Amino acid sequence: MNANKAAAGHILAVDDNKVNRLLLSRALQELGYTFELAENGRQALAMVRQQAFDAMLLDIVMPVMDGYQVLEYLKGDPALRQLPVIVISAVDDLDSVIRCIEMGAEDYLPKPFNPLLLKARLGASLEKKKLHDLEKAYLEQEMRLQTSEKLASIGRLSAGMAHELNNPAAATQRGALQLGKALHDHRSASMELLARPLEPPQIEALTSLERRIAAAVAQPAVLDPMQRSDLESELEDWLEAFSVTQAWELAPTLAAMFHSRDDLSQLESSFPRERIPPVTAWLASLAVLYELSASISQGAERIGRIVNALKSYTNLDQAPLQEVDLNECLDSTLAILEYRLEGVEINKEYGSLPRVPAYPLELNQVWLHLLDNALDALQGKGSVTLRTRWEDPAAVVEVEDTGPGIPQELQHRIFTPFFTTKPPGQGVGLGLSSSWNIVVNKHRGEMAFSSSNGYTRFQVRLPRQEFPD
Amino acid sequence: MPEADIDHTVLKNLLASVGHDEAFFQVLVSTYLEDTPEQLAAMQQAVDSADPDQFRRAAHSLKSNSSNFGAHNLAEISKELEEFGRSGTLMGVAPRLIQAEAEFQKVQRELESLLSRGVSSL
Repeated sequence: MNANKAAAGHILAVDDNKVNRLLLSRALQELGYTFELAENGRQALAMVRQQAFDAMLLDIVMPVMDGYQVLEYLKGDPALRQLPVIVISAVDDLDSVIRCIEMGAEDYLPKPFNPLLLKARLGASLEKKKLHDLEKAYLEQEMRLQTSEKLASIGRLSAGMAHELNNPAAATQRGALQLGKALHDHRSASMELLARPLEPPQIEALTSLERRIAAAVAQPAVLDPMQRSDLESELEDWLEAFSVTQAWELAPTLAAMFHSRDDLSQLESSFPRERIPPVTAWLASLAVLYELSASISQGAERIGRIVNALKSYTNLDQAPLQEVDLNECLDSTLAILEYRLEGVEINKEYGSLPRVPAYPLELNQVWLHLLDNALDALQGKGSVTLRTRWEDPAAVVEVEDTGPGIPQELQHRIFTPFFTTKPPGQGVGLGLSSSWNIVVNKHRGEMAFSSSNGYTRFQVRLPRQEFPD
Repeated sequence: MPEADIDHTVLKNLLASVGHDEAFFQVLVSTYLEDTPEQLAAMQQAVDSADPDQFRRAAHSLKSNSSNFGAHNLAEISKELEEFGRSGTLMGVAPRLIQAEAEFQKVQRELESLLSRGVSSL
C-alpha cells in the first residue's frame, strides 16, 4: 500500500478477519481514502508510530492485542490521543461498544458494516478532528498574541520607567557631587565666624535664622519672578552696604530662604558691622547645605517610589488569584504613568471597597491600557477622573477623560483585536481587546463605555463571587 | 441434501454494497470459503489446548462472516459457540462444533454452486 495522502484522509483499518479487511479496503477505496490494514492490535500500534493517520477503524475482538488494549494505549499517549477511533463491532456486542466509547472511542460501526454508514461516520470523525485542530491552532495563536501584547506592555513600562527615573537620578547625582564643595564652603565660613567668640544673643540670632532656613527648604515659598528679582536686588544692596564680597552670588541663595530684607536686619542689631560678611557667608553656605540635602533626599525618595511602584506592579504574578485592593492598583498604575501626567489634572474619587478576588497583574494591564488611552486622547491637557465604588455584589471602576471622545461610527469596533486609530508604530490595537478579555473572560466581569464629544468614560465591573480558573 | 438456506437477499445487498463488482464479490465469497475451515480448525485447537479466548475469537469471526454471506444457521451456531468461549469453559462444546462443521459443508456447497451459476442468478 502506498502512503500518499489523498484529499479525503489516511485511514488505518484494523481487523483480524480477512473478509472484513477486504470489505473495508474496498469501501475505503471507493470513498477516496488512502489506507493501511493491520491484522491485530500490535501491528496497528506499530503502524501508528510509523505513519500519520487521520482516523482508525478498530475491530474489538482480535488476537495478540485486542481493541480495548489498543484504545488504552492510544489514549494514554499524548501524541496519539487525538486520533479518532471508530470501533467496528457486531451489533449484539453493545456492551463492548459502550466500554470502548468510555475508553475514548469516538463512534462505532456495526458489523456487517454498511458502506454508507462508514462514509457518514468516518466523514463526521474527520470533520470533528479538523475542527479540533483548527481550534487548537487558534488558541495557540491567541496565546502568542497575548504574550506579544504583554511584552509590548512591559516594553512600554520599561521605557516609562527609564524616563521617569532619569530626572530624580540626575538630580540626586548632581546634589551628591556638589555636596563636597558645599561642606567645604560651610566649614571655611564656620572657621571664619568662630575666629571671634559668639555672644549668647548672637548665637540666638543665628539659631533663629537657621530655623528659618530649614523651614524655607522644607516648604519653599512661591514667589513670582518679578517679586523674586526685586527681593534679590534688595538683598544684594543690603549685602553690599556691609561690604560683603560677591554679594551677587549670595543674594539669590538668601532670597530663597528669607522673604524680605527685614529678616536679615536682625543681624544688624546683633553683630558689629565688620562681622556681617562672615555671618552672611556662613548663613548662605548653610542654606546651600540644607538645599542640597533636601534635593538629594527628594531625588532618592522619588526613585524609591518609582521602584516600589514597579515592584508592586510586576511582582504580582507570583500568586495568581489574590484578594486585591482596587484603589491601590489604580494608584500604583498612576505612579507608573506619572511621567505622562504633566498638564493633565487627575481627579480621584475613590469609594470604600472591600478586597476583590482577582489576578492583579492582568487587572493592572487593564488600568494601564485605559489610562494610556485617556492620556493619549488628552494630549497633555484636560483631566482624567478615576472613580471607584461598591455596587453589591460588584466593584465598579471608572476611568473618565475630557478628551475629544470616540467617534460614533467607530464605537462598535473598539474592542476588536487590532483596531486602532493610532499611527503605525504607536500601538498594535490590542489594548482594549485584551482588556475586555481579561475583564470578561478571566474575571467574569463586565466592561462598557460611553463617549461623546468632550467626554469618554470606561466602566469596569468586577464581581466579588469566587470564580473558577 | 438439505439446503443451507443461504439468504439471497443478504447476498444481493452485499453485491450491491460493492457496487455490483462481480469479480470482487467472487473474491469475497472465495475468501470466506477459505477462511472458515481455518476458523473451525482454530476452534478445535482451542478445545485441545483449553483456550477459551482463542475459541471465542474464532467463533466470533465465523459468526460475523457467516452473517455477511447470509448463512444464518451457521451464524446462529457460531453465536452459541462464541457464548461457550465467553463463559470460560469449553466443556460440552464438541457436539456444537461438529454441527458447525456439518453446516459449513452445506454452505460451501451452496455458495460454490452459486458462484458457478453466476452472480446474476441471485
